[in-house]
Amino acid sequence: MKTQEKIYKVLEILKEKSELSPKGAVIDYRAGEETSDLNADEEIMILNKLADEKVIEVVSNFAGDYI
Amino acid sequence: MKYSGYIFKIKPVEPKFSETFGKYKSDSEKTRGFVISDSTEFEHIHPEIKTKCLSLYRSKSYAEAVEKSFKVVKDRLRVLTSYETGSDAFGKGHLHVLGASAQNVDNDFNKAAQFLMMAIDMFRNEKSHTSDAKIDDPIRAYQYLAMSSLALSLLENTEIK
Repeated sequence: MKTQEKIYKVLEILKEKSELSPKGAVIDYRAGEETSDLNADEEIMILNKLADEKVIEVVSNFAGDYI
Repeated sequence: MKYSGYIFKIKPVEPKFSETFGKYKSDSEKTRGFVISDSTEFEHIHPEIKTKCLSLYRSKSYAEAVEKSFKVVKDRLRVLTSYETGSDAFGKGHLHVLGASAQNVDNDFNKAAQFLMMAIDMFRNEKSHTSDAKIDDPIRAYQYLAMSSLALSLLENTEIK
C-alpha cells in the first residue's frame, strides 16, 4: 500500500467518525485499533503529519486508558 | 514526532480537513483505478449476489463473500440442469445460453459462457483449499464478485437443448 493510500485510509476513518459526531465534537482515535489495516506506529506517524499540517488539532494524546 | 501515544483526541480543522480529504481521495482513486467505498458501487452487481454477499463484503470478509458468490452460481446451475459444475451443466445437462450477438457466433458465445462457469469452478476449488483464500484486497474481491455476477446474469436467459 502506498503512503498516499495509507493517509487516505486514516482520513477516511476520521471523516466517518466526524460525520457521526455532533459538529465540532472531539473524536477518539485509537491507533492500532481502528479499521484502517495499518499498524499503530504508521497511524501515529500519519496523525502527527496531519497535525503538523494543521489538518487536525490534537486536543490530547495518551499512551493508554489508565494513567 | 510530537505525539507518540496510542490514544488521540482529535478535532478536524475545517476547511483544511475537507480539502485534504478531497485531495487524497482523488489521488487514491487515480492510483487504484477506483474505490469501493459504499454500496452504490454494487448497483451493477447481480441482485442475488448483492443480497447474499454484500454484508460479508462490508464486514471485510472478502474471501467469504467471493466464495459465497461462487456458490450462488453453482446453485443456479444445479437448479437449471441438476449439475453444479460448468462442464457437466453444458455437457450432460445440455444447457444452452441464449443471447449471442448473431446465430453464427452462438457456439462461441456458449463456449465462452461454459468456460466462464468452469473458471468459477476452478477458482472456487482453489480458494476452498485455504482458510483465507488470499483475498485481502477489496478491489480484487469486487472483481471476483463482478465475474460471478456476469455468470449469473448469463444464466438468466437459458434453455435446455
